Parts: sequence; C-alpha cells; structure tokens
Amino acid sequence: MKIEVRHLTRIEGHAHLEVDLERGELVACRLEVAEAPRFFEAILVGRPAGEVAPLASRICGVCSHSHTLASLLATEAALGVTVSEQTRGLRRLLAYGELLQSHLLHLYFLALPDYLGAPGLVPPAPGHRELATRALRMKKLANDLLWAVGGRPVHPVTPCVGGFAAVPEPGVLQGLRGRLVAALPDLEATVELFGGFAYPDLPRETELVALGGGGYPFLGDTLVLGDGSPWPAAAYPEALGEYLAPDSTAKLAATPRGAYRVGPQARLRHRFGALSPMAARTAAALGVTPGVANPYRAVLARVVEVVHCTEEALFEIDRLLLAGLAPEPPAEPRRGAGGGRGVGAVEAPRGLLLHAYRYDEAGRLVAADCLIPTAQSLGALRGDLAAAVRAFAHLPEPELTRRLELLLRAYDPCLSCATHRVTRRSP
Amino acid sequence: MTQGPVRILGLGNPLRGDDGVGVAAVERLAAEGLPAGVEAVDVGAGGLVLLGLLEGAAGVVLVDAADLGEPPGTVCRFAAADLVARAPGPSLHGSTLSEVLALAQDLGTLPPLIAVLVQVEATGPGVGLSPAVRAALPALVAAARAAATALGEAAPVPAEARSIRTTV
Repeated sequence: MKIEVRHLTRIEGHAHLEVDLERGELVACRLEVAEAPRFFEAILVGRPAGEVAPLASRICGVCSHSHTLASLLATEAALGVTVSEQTRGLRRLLAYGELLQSHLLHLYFLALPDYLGAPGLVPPAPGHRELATRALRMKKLANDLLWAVGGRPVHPVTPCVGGFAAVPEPGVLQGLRGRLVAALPDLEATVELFGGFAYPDLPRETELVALGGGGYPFLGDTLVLGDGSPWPAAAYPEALGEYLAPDSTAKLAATPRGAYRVGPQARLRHRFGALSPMAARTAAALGVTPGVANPYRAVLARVVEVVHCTEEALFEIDRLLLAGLAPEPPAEPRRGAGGGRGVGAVEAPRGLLLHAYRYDEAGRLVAADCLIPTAQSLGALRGDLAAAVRAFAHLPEPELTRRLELLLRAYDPCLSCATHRVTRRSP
Repeated sequence: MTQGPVRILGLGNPLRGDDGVGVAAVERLAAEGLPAGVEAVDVGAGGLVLLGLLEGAAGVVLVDAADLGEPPGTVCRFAAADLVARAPGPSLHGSTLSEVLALAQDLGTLPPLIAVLVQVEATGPGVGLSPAVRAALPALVAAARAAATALGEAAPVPAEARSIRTTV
C-alpha cells in the first residue's frame, strides 16, 4: 500500500508526504519539502547594521516580528548594545502578540477543520463560521497589539537597533489592555472547544530544545537542551548541527543525540513552572503536563500558551504604563563601529529561532546564519511520521492518511518562502 | 462597515525581486500623501493577516505582483469575484490570496474590493525591481489611487473595470 499526499493543505508552505507500506510493514516514509531554497542569509551580507532587521523581517510574513527581534538581538550582541528595561518590555509585548496571532491562526484555521471533519476552510465545516468569527476577533486583537507597538501589522517598523524609533501612546495601550480583559470569555471558550476533541495517542519521546533563562522566556541568550542542561546561545553550532538532506530544500538540524524538536511542547517541558496563573490552571484542566510527549497534543500546548501570552501581555502593559512609558533615544553601541559576532535567540511561535551575525570594522554584516524553527523540528517530524505509520498501520487507509496529515499539521510547520503570487485562471 | 477607511494593501516580498512591487507602491503612496479616509498598509507576506485587515474597511484596494501572462509591467485591474476561490482543490495551499478572500466572503467581512496587479518579470531571490516593473510603478500607484477613490465614493465597480489594462 502506498499513501501519497501531494500539496499538503493547511500548512504554511508546500510539502509532499509519501508512505510505503507492505503487509503492514513500513518500507519508506518520505517528507519532501518542495519550497524554493532561501537565499536570505546572502541578501543580508554587506548591509549596515540599521538595514539588517527590516530585511530580516521579510524572511517570513507569518512570524516577521520574531525575525525582527532575533535580528536586533544578534546585531546588538555583535555591536555591544545594552537596551533599556522599557525596550525589553515592548519587545516582550511583540513576542506575545506574535505568538497569539500565529497560534490562533493555527488553532482555528489550520487545525480546527480536521477536528470538525471538514476538507478545508472553504467551504467551512458545519459550525466553523461562528468559530471563525470568534477566532478573527481574537486574532485581530493580537494584530492590533503588534500594529500599535511595531508600527505595522506585519513587518514591524518601530523596533530598531538599541530600542524603538517610536513607542505607542499610553492611551492606546490602555485601550488594548481593556480589549485583552474583554477577550477572556473568548479564551475560556477556546479552552473548552479544544479540550473537547480526541487526540490520537502517539507516545514518543524526542529531545526538546527551548530558550532558557528565568520565567517563560521569549528573548534570551541561553538555551535548554533536551536533558535540561543550559547551553549558551552563542555556542549553538556545537549543540545544534545543521545538515542538508537531498529531498528537502530546508536545512535539517540535530543534536549529538539525534533529531530534536522545538516549539510549544519544548517550552512547556522546560519552563512549565513559569506559566502565568491562568495558563497553569488551563494546563491542569486540559491535562497538559511538562512530561507530555505525544506530538498530537501540541495543539493543546498552543491553547495553554495563548492563555499565557494574553495574561502576560496584560501584566506587561501594566508594568510599562506604571514605569511611565515615554519615547527614549535608542541605546548606542558600546564598541562603536567595531566588528564582532553576535547571536540573537528568541522563541518564535513555532519554537527557537536563532540569528547569528558577524560584522566587520566598518559595521557591515559579513556573515549571517539563521536557524529556523521548522527546519530544526523537521528531523523529529520525520521520525514521528514513521512512528505514526507503524502505530496506526492497522487502521483503514483513509484514517491512517488522516492521522498522518493531522500529525503534520500538529507541528504547524512553516515551510513557506513567503511569496505572494496570483495566477490568472481564465482569460 | 462603511464607517471604516478605504485601505490600500500592498502585498509581496521585497526580497523576491518584482514580488516586492506592492510594498514599493505603498511606500510611494505614503511618501506622496493620501486623502483623508484612505490609508495604505504594507502587508508584506502577511497571508491570513489579510483577513483582519479586510474587516472593518469601507473598501480595499489590493496591490500585488502577479503572473498574468502579459508583458512585464502591465497593470491590470480585477474585481473581487475574479480572485475569490469557490471550491477547495489540490492546488490550494494554506493561505493563498484567493482562499483568504473566499474565507472573508464566507464570514461576511469582505468589503468592496479591487485588485490592482502588475505583471512581474523576475521574482527570484534578490532586492530591487526589474526596469519594466519599476517603470510601471507610477501607473500602478495611479491605478491604486483611482481604485481607492472609486471605492470611497461607493461607486459600484463596472464590469468593464475588470479588463482595464495599461501597458507601460
């Protein structure tokens, strides 16, 4: 029996899945990534520090804020820039908004149709229209938060090396705060909705890698490896090697112990104790624990993180307003125009995102390396797909296919080259 | 819904050559200035972000690169109906433009919409527009302004608007 899913739908980007089974035995399981290779690292070379982050934000339209933040942290580490607490707070707000818009998109538009038994978004599954309206309301709030702090809904324009070129008016943040509070019933409904679905069981332990440091961090300089040990982000190449596979244009990554996974379940594995009070209660209600190793349940991990980031965004706005949010000049480089190497590490919605830059004496970027979350998780995803084929080989083919697609989407892979093209169908 | 602004949304990725023309058009519109009630937003490669930006607008002008089989730099204008996907199919991916528009239509959040598209020459990796597309930028911006004015006046989009074509 051969199962082939070409043009997998409802993931960000393009991929094909091929599974070959003989009398219940797995012969081959291939996940092809059919995206055009990225040349973004090359595009960054030769640019002065101030131009790098705006270009880096264009790498991906789905998580442009995460790329901006990773890029700024890398440049600041290379040039010796220390930012203010206000800047850190505003950047955390961007990270929360980013996670919210991406997770809500995944939950309600990419994952939900599967659980409602629909082929896709259009036409919608029975009952999906009402749910989509709720999702849009929540997602719009996240996008408005990003718009207010980042100056644009996508590809932010206010964050710059050393700080922010402009900060939101306190009244605008107050308004967003009110809307976040008003969104709590929508959050409760979301928890109830996703808690009511049955998720296939696939217990499979994988190395989980996340950002380390205090709290439930989204910006930092330390990693946590699968065994819980800390690792300096600047030394990531020694812990997270990248390699190229012939059937994929995305780079794959592996620790010395093998494939690893980043993302919501990795964050929960290592930072569970730092969840906000409401998120901790949500996790308890959904049966989400740090030990959960079933990749299908990443969907529930995202629900917990949506609650966490909503509550943390409220706290962050309060802190910023209490401290007297006001424009301030960006922090200056300590090392002048001198060159250096720097690594920026952030938690993007799909997991750990690293940008590593080297600048020359004239302050121009001479080398760049971007380690993308989906590329890091791809090896683990392939292993999980093979394990799922073995575990579910006894099921009828349509159900097996459905479970494989479900697994793939539970990873929320972003294989997109972020282009936007229209092709005319008829003259 | 008619209380909201008319939004000119520039789509595309400036790191992919001519694909960035929608973003370039929005930059030019912002630099030249916009009439009251009209805003221009750089949506970049936003995908489903578009859904939230369609909602609440009195009208939307989409400015994007396209492969229309025309000479590079040709500016074409389309009505929403020409872009909205009506059925799922194997060639539709997670967040194609047409699927986003179909979803918005289904949710009742699709405002009157005109797409102003320009035929690309090259969309490989790299920053900068090809000469033909760069030369078409004034015509593209003018077409976007005209479309925004038409939407602002709540004038119904005439059927022949679909075939308006400007070759530069």
